[in-house]
Amino acid sequence: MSRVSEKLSSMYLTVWTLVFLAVWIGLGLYLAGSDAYIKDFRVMNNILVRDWLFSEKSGSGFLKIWFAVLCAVMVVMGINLIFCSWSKIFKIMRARFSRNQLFMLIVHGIFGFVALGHLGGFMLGFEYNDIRLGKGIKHHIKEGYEIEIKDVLFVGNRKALAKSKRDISRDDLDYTKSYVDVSLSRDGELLKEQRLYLLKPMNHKDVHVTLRSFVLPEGFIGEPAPDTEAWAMFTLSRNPALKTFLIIYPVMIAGIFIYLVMTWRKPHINQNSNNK
Amino acid sequence: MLATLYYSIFILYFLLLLTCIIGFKKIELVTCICAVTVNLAGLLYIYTSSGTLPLFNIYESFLFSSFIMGATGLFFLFKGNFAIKVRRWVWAGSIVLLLVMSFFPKEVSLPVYDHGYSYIVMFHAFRCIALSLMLVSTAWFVQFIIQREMDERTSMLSHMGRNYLVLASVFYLAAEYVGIIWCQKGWGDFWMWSQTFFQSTLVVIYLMLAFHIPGKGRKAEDIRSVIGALSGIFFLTLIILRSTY
Repeated sequence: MSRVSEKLSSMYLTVWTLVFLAVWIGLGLYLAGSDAYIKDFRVMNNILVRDWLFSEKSGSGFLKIWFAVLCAVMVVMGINLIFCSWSKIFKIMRARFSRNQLFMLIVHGIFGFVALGHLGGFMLGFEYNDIRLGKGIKHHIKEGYEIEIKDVLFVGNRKALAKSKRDISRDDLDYTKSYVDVSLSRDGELLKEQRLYLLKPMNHKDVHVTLRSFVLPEGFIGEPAPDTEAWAMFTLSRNPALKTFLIIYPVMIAGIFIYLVMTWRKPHINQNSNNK
Repeated sequence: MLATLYYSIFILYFLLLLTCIIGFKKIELVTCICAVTVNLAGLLYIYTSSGTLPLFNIYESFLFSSFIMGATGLFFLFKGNFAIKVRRWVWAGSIVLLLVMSFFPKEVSLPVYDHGYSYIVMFHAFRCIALSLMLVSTAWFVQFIIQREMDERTSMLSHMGRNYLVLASVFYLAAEYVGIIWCQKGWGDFWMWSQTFFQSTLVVIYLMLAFHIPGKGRKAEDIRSVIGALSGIFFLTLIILRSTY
C-alpha cells in the first residue's frame, strides 16, 4: 500500500475529519440561531438544496460557502471510508480479520449508502414548501405537476389558524378529523386524488404532497372568527432516493445492534473480579 | 402535586446514593425498589392526569430518563456484586438529572395536538432512553478512570462503558430514524436546516468520534474513556440548550 493511500485510510484522518465536521456543524448551529442568517436558512429549507445552491437570487454567499465546505468535508470522509474499507478487505483476503470485524466493515459500507441517500435528498428531485392554498385554488410548478384543492375541512378553534404548530393544543385542533381533498396532475393528466390529513401525505411514486398545517387565507388581517375560511399549507416534493434511504437506515441500526450483541462480552475477563 | 412528586423522587435517589456509598446492600435494594416504584408512579400519574405520555418537556422527559437509569441500577443490583462502584455513579447521574430539573418548571407539557402520534412518541421516548444509557455509560467510564491507577485489570469497565454507549447509539439512531419519518410525513422532507437538526447531528458526530479513537495503548484507551465519560454530559448539555429556544 502506498503512503498516500495509507494516509487516506488512516483512523487519524477519520478523527480529525469528525472534529472538523463537529466544529463546522457547531458554526451552522450558531448561524441558524443568529438574526443575520435565520431568513437565509428559511430560504434554504423552502426549496431543494441543489436549486438553492445554484440560484443567484437565494441566500447569502457566506451560507453557500458554509454548505460547500460541509460537502467537501463529507467527501473527505467518504474517501477515508473507501480507503479504510479497501485496506480492511485486503486483510480479509489475507485471513487476518475476525468475523466481528467483517460484520463491522459491512455496517460501515451501509453507512456510506445512508450518507449518499442523505446527499440524494439534497440534490435529486424537487421541493416546494409553503404553498398556501384554499378551496378551488390550483398551484402549478415548473416540473409540470399541479395540485388542486377540492375541499377543506377544519375541525377546531379558528384561532389556531394564526398559531404556530407547537402552540396548537388538542382542544384547538382535531388533526384526525381535519382534512383537505387534493388532486395531483401532471401536464393536464390526473395522477391521483386523495383526502389528506396532517401527518398522512399523498404519495404518488416518488412524488409527495404533504399537508403541513392549516392557515389563514392569504391577505387575511385581523382576528379569525368562527366562520373564517381555513386554507392549507403544503409541500410538493419529489425525492427518488427516499425509499432506499428509509430501507437502509434501519438496516444500519440493526447492524450496529447485532455487532453489539456479538461483542458484548470481552473475552478472557471475569466480570465479577473487577468491581468488588 | 408535581413538585411534591419531584422532591420525593429526589430524596429517594439521594438516599440510594448514600446507602450505596455506605455499602448497605439490602437497604440499597429496598431504597432502589422504592425509588423506581415512586418514579414509575409519577410517570403514570402524569399520563393519567394529562392524557399525554410524559416525554415532552424537561420535567417529564428527565423523570422518564431517571426511571430508566433507576431500572438499570436495579438490574445491576439484582446481578449481585456486579458493578458496585459503578452503581454509585449511576445514582449520581440520576441526581444530576433531578438537579437540572430543579431549574425548570415542574409542570406537565402543553397538550399539543399531535403528541399522541406514534412516531412523535417514539422519537421522544428513544431519545430519553438514549440519554439514560449514555449516562450509564458515563458511570462505567468514570469508574474506569478512577480505578485505573489502582488496578491494572480494569479494562472490563471501559468495555462495559463502550457497550452501553453503543446501545445508547442504537436508541439514538432509532430516534433519528423515527424523527426522519415524522419530518417526512409532517413537512415533506426528512431534513431541515435548523438548530434542532444541527444539535442532533452534533450528537451523532460525537458518538462517531467516541468509537473511532485510534490506537491500542494506554493513552488511546484513556482518551476513549474520557470522551465516553463525557458523552452523557454532552447530550444533556445540548438538551438543556435546546429547551432555551
